[in-house]
Amino acid sequence: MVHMAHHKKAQLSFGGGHNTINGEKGIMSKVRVAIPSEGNGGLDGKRAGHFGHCDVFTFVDLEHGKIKDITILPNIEHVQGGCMVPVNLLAENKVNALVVGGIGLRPLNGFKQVGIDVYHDAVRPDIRPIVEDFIAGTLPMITENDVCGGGK
Amino acid sequence: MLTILLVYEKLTLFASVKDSFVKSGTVNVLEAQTTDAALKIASEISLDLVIVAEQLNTMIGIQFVNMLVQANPLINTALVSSLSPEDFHEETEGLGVLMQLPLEPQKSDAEEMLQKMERIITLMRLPQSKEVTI
Repeated sequence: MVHMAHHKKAQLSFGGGHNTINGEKGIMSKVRVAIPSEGNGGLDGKRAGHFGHCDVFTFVDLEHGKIKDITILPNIEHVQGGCMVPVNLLAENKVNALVVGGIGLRPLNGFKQVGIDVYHDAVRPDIRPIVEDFIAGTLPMITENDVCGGGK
Repeated sequence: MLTILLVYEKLTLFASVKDSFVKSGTVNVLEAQTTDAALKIASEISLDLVIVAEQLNTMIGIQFVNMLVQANPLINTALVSSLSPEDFHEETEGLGVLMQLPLEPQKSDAEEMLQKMERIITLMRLPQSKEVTI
């Protein structure tokens, strides 16, 4: 059996915003947001359209609604049927939320299973405004109607 | 040891695949001839891979894979399909299907599935890559 990394669900939310982490209302303390990115990523970098094929994940560590730290993590090789590999990678790295331009049904359900909330913006290529909207609590969570391909 | 479930209506469909798995000595093979039976097994036993026929007793294989992904996204799937590779990709995109199988899967297909499973398991077990502060 392939084992998945599980981490405790963050019971946090953004004070004053509309977003909640795992549906719990409260005052946010620490949240790690992952953004699939092209090239070297970073706050001034570009987002990757397909999360599984991204070059790196940009991690934004937030504390009380402020950016505390920016790091990047190289992605792992993507293989057909290997949707759970990046799910496992992000869970192992204590990610609480992921912002995607698109995602398939299987990885979306995988992220749900490991307690990572998935947010959606299919339009803007830049990372910074997405992070700003996440902090402001205006970024919508993805629904199954937004998933890619035949898994709809 | 991998646990693999074969889901089919026609008894002979996966005979070669099953034979190859059994001979490999690395696979625990389970079988179901109805979608209900398959879902019951999937809910009770940790499965590494579910191999699905193109047509099942109550639905087509793609529909069943969709149901399975909703119930347990950790389970890998392979699907028999007469679609062209392009159409198969279009129809199954997002479902994370490991492999499209021909209408009469053979020993070579079984071997390829095991190789792909081994690759995925290796990737899942890779040590964490290092974060870089920027």
